[in-house]
Amino acid sequence: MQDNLTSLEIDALTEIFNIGIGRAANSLNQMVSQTVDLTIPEIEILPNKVAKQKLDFDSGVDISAVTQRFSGDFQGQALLMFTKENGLQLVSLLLGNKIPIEDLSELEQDSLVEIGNVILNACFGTVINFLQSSISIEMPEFIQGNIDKIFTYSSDNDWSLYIKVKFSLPSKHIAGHISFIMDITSLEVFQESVRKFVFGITSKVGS
Amino acid sequence: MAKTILVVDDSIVSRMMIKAIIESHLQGVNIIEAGNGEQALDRVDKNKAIDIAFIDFNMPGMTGLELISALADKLTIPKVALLTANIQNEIREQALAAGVTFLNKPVNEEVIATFLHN
Repeated sequence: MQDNLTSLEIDALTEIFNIGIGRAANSLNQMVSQTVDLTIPEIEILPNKVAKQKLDFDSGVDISAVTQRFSGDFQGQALLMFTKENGLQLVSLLLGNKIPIEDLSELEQDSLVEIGNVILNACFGTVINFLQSSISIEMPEFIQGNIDKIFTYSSDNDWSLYIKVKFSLPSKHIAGHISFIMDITSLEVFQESVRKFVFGITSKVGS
Repeated sequence: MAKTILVVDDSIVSRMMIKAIIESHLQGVNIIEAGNGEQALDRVDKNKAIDIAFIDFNMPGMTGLELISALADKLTIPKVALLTANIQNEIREQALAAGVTFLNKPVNEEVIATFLHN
């Protein structure tokens, strides 16, 4: 299964997501006026149950997440995730620290959905433009709970294309994850888009 | 005399794109490629001049700005471009303070060509 993507295709995908996440970080930086650090995207094809473990949240941890499902040329789920505490800290920053953290719960959902919408769409926009794909994106949805509630799929044995980036606001000790999880059923179409993109580059180099 | 250009990016595809654009604009150019900062420092010889450098910001190990600072201890590169999609003000300001041109990713032919020729 892992052999489905060549190293050059994985490299191209990593770079595309790197650019998308870079733009997302810029958007978040503008929203909260804090420097945002990023890791290099990790891209793997994994069984769902392994992908869930890779999300780095213990099952006992309360997570605040914004998820957007997408469908079209390829389909899956994009997730922006924080621990509940980090989510509230981020909302507090967004609102300029004017509201005591104990009073933030009411605004938490709206604020995180807005942050998620901006961040996930910055990533989507870049990926779609690069791969010249057509996908429609559902409205962002706020979910709170443990990882089993956040990351849902039909079968443990199905495989997914799994992309993960960790971002942090080091001065505020806030960290979160952005993940894109794509159904294996749509992976073939996605791979074809990646191949066309890579072919476009390699043919230009060779010309 | 043929120019020597350093291209540092952890993405092979990105290096291929930059290299293709450079080669279509400059004849007989000598391109040194590296996939990260440590590799770049190994491949750069302080006795051989580098005319231009294209350096990615977000790489495993040292960042592009850290590499630019380390390179400055070894040799003077007249034109250095920092490539990133992460256009946060702090990074932009650090790039400007280091005397580096900030180029937004994804790079295109026009942007690279303008940087090469100006």
